[in-house]
Amino acid sequence: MKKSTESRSRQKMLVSLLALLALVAAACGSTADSVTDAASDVADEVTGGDEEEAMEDEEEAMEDEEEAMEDEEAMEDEGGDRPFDGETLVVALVGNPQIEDIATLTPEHFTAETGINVEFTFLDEGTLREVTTRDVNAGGEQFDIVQIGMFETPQFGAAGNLVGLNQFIENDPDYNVDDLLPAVRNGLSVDGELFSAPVYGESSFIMYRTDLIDNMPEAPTWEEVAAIAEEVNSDDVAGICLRTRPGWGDLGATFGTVLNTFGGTYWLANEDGSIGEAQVDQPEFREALQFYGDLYNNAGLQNLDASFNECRTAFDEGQVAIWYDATVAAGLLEEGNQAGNIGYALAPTNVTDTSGWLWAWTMAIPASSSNPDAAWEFISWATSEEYINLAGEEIGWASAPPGTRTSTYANPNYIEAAESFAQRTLDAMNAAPIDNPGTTPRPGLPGVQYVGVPEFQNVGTLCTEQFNAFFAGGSIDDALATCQEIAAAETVG
Amino acid sequence: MASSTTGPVVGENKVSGFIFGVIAWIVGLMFFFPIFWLVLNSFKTEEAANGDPVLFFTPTLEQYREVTASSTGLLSFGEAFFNSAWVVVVSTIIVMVLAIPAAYSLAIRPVEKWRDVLFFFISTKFLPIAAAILPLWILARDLGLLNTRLVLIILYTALNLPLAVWMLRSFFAEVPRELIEASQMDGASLMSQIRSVILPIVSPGIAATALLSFIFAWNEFFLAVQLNPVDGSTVPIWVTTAVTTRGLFLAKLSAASTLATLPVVLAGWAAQKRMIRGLALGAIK
Repeated sequence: MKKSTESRSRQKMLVSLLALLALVAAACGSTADSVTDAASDVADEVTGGDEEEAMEDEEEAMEDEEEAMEDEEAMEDEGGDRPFDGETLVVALVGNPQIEDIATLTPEHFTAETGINVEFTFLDEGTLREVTTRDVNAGGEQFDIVQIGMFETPQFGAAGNLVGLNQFIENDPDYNVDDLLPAVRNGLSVDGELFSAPVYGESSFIMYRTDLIDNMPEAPTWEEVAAIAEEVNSDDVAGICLRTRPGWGDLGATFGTVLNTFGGTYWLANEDGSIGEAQVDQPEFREALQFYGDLYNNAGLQNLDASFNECRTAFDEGQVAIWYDATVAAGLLEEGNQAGNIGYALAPTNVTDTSGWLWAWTMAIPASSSNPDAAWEFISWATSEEYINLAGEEIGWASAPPGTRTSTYANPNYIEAAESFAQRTLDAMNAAPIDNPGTTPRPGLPGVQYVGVPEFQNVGTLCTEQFNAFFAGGSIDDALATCQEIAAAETVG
Repeated sequence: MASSTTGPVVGENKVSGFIFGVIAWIVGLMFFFPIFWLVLNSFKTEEAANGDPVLFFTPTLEQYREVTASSTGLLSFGEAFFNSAWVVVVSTIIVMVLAIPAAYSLAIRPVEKWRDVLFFFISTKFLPIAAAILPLWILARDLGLLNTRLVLIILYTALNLPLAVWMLRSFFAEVPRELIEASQMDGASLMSQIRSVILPIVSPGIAATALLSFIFAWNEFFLAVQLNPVDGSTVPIWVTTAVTTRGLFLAKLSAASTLATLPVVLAGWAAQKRMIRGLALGAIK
């Protein structure tokens, strides 16, 4: 009995070991065709096929070496065209489809041309912010290129933590900087110095179902949108989907634009541009929050944890008639169930002329990068008109990175693929009031749906938690009082 | 009288044993179901994995092929697997080499104030790792260890060492004193005493401790993503980077997760008997 248990246990060990070997073999194979192939490799080794394989491997290795030597010779012949040949860049990017396309196209179209190897790290947005903010501000030298947003770029740039790009652009006649959308270029610059190059950009606008709504103005007011939303709101279809999830980049973004156009703000600005008196207790702020809360409760999709993806799904599945969110959603919706049934209108206003937000994901070079010249080579390729054309041809025109260059909106291929929303997106981006988002001057650097000071991340997130509680049935007085206290703690002087 | 009181008790035991058995099975299945579903999904096509749940389908290795295909510039499965194996095996060996003598000196020949020493060891686990990340990152930066495997080896060793010392100490405390004294009377040196008398008795405990260190280090994500997220990184990082977010990706994610968990499951399965004996050994005084 004991013996059989022992032998069973030995068998178990052997099976585990074999399976583990298969896994190792799969791991070590260059392309790791499949687990089954790897398992048969192991079987070969057990039956004595290993010597043959070893010889084959050696031959392959020799061939590789010869190829490498030939490559090197070829590169030497080319001489000065590839000044950064053999250098390696480490790049941290956010993991979303349009960004991942860059990694797909790099080996064949960038490394092959320049000889620069690029190692990519894809992280989720939250982790990317943690990792890159620390690396950029504390000189970690972990990355040569980091992906940051329009919120971070001017702040990091002004603090001297990013390499200014003007010097490279001056020496790089191929990089058409004047082609960048003016609002985007402006949002990424401090005193005329560009600190990051945009990968894709977005504004916000209204998306609505044309089969349910036929009276949406091209440039509506919030009052008009609320009236239409309440009119179409029924048991089957909610009038509008609004972001409700706490977070400065979630509810904070959509509410931020509403707040701006209602004439409210979190803070006044001191004369030196620092954070002035908190304004959350002012009537404009209350009016904006009350409006947002009423619209949510009277005609909104009832989901207190809704953000971009939740609203996108709800709209796609026909559960809502109107959605106010990022322009980049249009490309995704037009591939879904409502394709052909969608109309677009500019971001609604109240007392200001325009109100859409402005955002761009960009690439920047940390001041601690050991190789800024090679880093620029990559950035100038990945954010160029040439790259947009390449992505359009290789991946698909609807997926070409939008919202960065004027030339994209003159490209007949892109216009054809994005016919229904391209012009509206361009209009929205050009209309985004980056320098003058509301009715009062703002502290810090330019920003529409956020205030361009580092303190806003925390204040925006904590305050939107209070707003969310108000939407859920809490008191608006409590929400505003707590938010005022949080904001006032940051006032300088 | 006696028999009448024992009767119902036995009956109760049977009934409660049955009920507890059923509850244990339900809880066990609840814990196992996500793993089962994960493995099942990994053999489906994306359409099948994202459609209505079905138990019977034509299995495919397509997802495994896709996630293990290497792409220039991205952490490949091969690299990640090698990095993980290297980091985890080396750190586990260091942990055991340091923890065994420490446990000996705490259990068999207790040093002065051994209780304080033991408390000090475990107190290093009190601080949440998220609170320590910034100082760790600054140290790693100043020592030039960012983006290296070495930083993970050092930290995984430090993370697992207190736990290993505590576990091993309780196993060592189980060794009968008489055996040690007998070997001393036979003139055995300290080394041969440890090698020939103590280690054979505590080997299940050592296996269990090593396996736990292995599992904790293999699954660690936070430190890896903060200190070494690039191409020298480990399997948990590979899982997040290998799966593209374009289109449907549930089946691919399942395949990547299955591959990532497989080594730990296999190691646990192989050492199952020893591990249970080892864990039970430390529990009974």
